[in-house]
Amino acid sequence: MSLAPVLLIEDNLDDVELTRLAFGEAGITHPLVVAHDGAVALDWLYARGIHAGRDPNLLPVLILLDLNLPKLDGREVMQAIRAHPATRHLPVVALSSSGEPVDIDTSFASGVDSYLQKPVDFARFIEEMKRLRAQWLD
Amino acid sequence: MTDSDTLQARIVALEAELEALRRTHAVFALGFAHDVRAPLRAIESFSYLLDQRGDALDDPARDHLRRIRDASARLNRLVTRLQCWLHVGEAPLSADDVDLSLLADWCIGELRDADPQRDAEIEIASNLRTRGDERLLKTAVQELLHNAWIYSAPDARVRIRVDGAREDERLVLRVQDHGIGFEPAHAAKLGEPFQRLRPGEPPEGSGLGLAIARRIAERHGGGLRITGRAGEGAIAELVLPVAEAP
Repeated sequence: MSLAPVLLIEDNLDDVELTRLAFGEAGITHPLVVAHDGAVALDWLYARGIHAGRDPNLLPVLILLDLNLPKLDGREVMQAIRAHPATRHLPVVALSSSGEPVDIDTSFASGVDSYLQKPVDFARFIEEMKRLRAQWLD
Repeated sequence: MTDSDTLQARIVALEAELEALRRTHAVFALGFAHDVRAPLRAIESFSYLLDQRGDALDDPARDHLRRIRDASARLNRLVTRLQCWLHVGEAPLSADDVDLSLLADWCIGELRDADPQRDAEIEIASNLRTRGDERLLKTAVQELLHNAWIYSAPDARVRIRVDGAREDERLVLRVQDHGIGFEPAHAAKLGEPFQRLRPGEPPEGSGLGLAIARRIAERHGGGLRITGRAGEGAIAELVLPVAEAP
């Protein structure tokens, strides 16, 4: 049986590639589904819009959510996820460049389960992905 | 309306304008410091991945890659320090009694942990107390001690003395080192952001440490004074409120 995917909602193509590489280095074998903005992510989750026809029962095991997104920002995406009965229980980890307490507090207030500051150092990013795997995927 | 009323109204308008400018400056600087992290992460991470395949590169390519990684590490340090400088200017202030002697002891412990091979002789006077925001004051003390530590002559024992004196209603916290010092004529430049007397030396300096300490002292109604002599060391004095009587 194939593994449920991880949904990465991220508009920065470099960060998408780095997340893909860090998944490999951390031994995460779940498929990575990428949405480049919040609206497309919600379309994918609810099998509508450009993702109409996708099996709506295939939900991600984990959502990685960049907070600074075009169209719908991360907090608006979070509100939609928590408001919908099909997705309200899915674990969501916020990804952000910011380590500012106000951003961390706002993210938790919007309902994320965890907050990961994207490190500049790739070796540290791999370690963060290993921790994420142990906490949410193993 | 009297001349005095007109003048007062003008002052209020100018203060509002100044505050708006200050906010714009802070928002721009915070936004820049935040947004520059994404390209920085890409430079550092992809060059790290290239470095992992170093065997496939010739010597000049490896040297170029090392320079890219060193530069991105310097830029990362600078952005981190810039964020710290911005943060200490904007963070809400609490007002607690703070034991600066304990904070200095804690900071020295961190410096020793980071540089365990370094021989260091440290004296910290006890019971140096002020009133203010403990977290920010720890940052200020940390900056002064870090500066004293890294500007010690590289082959000599680190010698730092921390003491204090009362000046009217202020506590002056003194951090004295016996490091490389500086020409007294350059004293006025120190404490301004991005001022360095010796570009690139030491590499861990960012040109923001004393500016961070000064900003914190100013937010507590005080300031920073720096004196020194080349080859003899420096004295940094943080002027702060005194603690309330117990």
